[in-house]
Parts: sequence; structure tokens; C-alpha cells
Amino acid sequence: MLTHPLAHHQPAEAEGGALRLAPLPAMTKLDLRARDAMVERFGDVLDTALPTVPLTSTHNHDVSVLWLGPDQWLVLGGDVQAKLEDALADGFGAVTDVSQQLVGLELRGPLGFDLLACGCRLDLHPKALNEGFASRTGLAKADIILHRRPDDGGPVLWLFGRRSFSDYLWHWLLTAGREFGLRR
Amino acid sequence: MLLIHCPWCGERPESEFRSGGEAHIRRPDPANAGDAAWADYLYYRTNPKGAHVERWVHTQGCGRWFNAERDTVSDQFQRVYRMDEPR
Repeated sequence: MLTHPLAHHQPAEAEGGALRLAPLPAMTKLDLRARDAMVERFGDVLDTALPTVPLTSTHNHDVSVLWLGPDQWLVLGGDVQAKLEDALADGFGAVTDVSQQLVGLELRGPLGFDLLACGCRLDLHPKALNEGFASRTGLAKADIILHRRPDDGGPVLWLFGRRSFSDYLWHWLLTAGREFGLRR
Repeated sequence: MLLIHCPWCGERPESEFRSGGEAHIRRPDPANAGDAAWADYLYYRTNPKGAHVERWVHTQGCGRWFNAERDTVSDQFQRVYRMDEPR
């Protein structure tokens, strides 16, 4: 069963809906390693091609695939592990369940970029960080995977940190968010 | 903040990278190499003033190793190229 170490936290919000911080529901996360023909084979199974353009992601109705490196992807959601392992068969590649290793957080609202800018050194202008953006990077002292979801009434950012860093990330975001009116 | 151009991720902050020392150091053939060749391989580096070819890794990003030519005086990166590209 998937657990979430931050599940007991209530979402924090700023007045007017400019910023909202909440733990993401627990979801399946798979780390894929593949090259050449295996990339296509995994894409067929997922019903969406693995993104080959750096810093992008692809989606179908219940699965998102994030580019992490030229031969590495993160699959979010869905029930696809067994099917991917079948597709792997005796080929070169790897399907690793990292559901419990990574803990997800969601930032909603236009101030999410400003909040991240307090501890992340990427170019976080909404135009530089397109919808679908995906990359590993750093936030404060933690390694994170940053992913911008398709807009949903405003920008939506997903952050995935290591489980042992989840409390740190949560409290760091709450503290940094005070400046932007984020209140529990 | 120094920006380093990762061959895959583009311009990223220096803090996401780690340096791996001088690039293009060839391991001698164990069957024929003498002490001098091994000493050269293990301990001696060019340490130039000016253009220096180095290995870098984008640890807090795509995780790839690549080569870069950096000016040791100005700390400017002149060129980056992938491991499978010629010097």
C-alpha cells in the first residue's frame, strides 16, 4: 500500500487563491531506463511516446512521463508496472518502482514561481518554465524533481523530493511562503 | 552565478554541477606500461594557465557526464561537448 509521510498536513493557502501548497495524493512512480528500440516499446505500452526532448513531458489520460535524462524517465500514475516489465522482457533497460522513495507536493497559483525562486536557481519565469516542463534540480538543500502541470485555472507545479527530505521541504516551503501570505 | 551549458539541459547554475578533473586521460595498456607510464597516468596533470579540458557532471539535473573547455584564468567556459564527440 502506498503511504505519504505528509498526508496528515492540511493544505496551506494564501488569501485570494494566488498560492496554495498541498501534499500530492500518493501515486505510483516508476523510474524507467531505456535506449534505442526499448524507448519505443515502452512508449507503446504507455500509450504515449517517451519524451525525447530534454526538460519536457508527455501525457495520456492517466499517465505522465517526465524526461529526467537522455535514457531516464519518470512515469507518474497509472497501473503499468507489470505491463512495462513484460515489455522489458530480456531487453536492455530497467523498470524500478520509486513510489515510496519520492514524495509529491503541489503548488498552485501564480505565486508558486516566486516561492520557488526563494530556493531554486533555475530560470523560473512562467515563460521559461513552460507547461509540461520536467527536470531534476535543487530546492534549498534538497534535490527535487520539478514538473509544471498543464494549467488548471492557473499554473500548477509538482515537486517530488526524497522521502527523508519531505518534512524539510514542507516546512521550508511554509516558511518561505509566509512572505507571499501562505497560511495554515 | 556562473551558468554552465549542459549539452542536454542548456544553461544551468554552476551549483548543479560537479567537476571531474582533467579530461581525455588514457589508461595505459596494463600489459606493457612501465612505472613511469603509470605514474604519469595516476599523478601528473597538465595544470595549464588558460584553456583546460575537463570532465563535468550535471548531478542535480540529467546526471550526464560531459567534457568542457574552461579558461583557468577567467573561469569562462569556452565550449562543452558530449563524451562521444571528439576533442
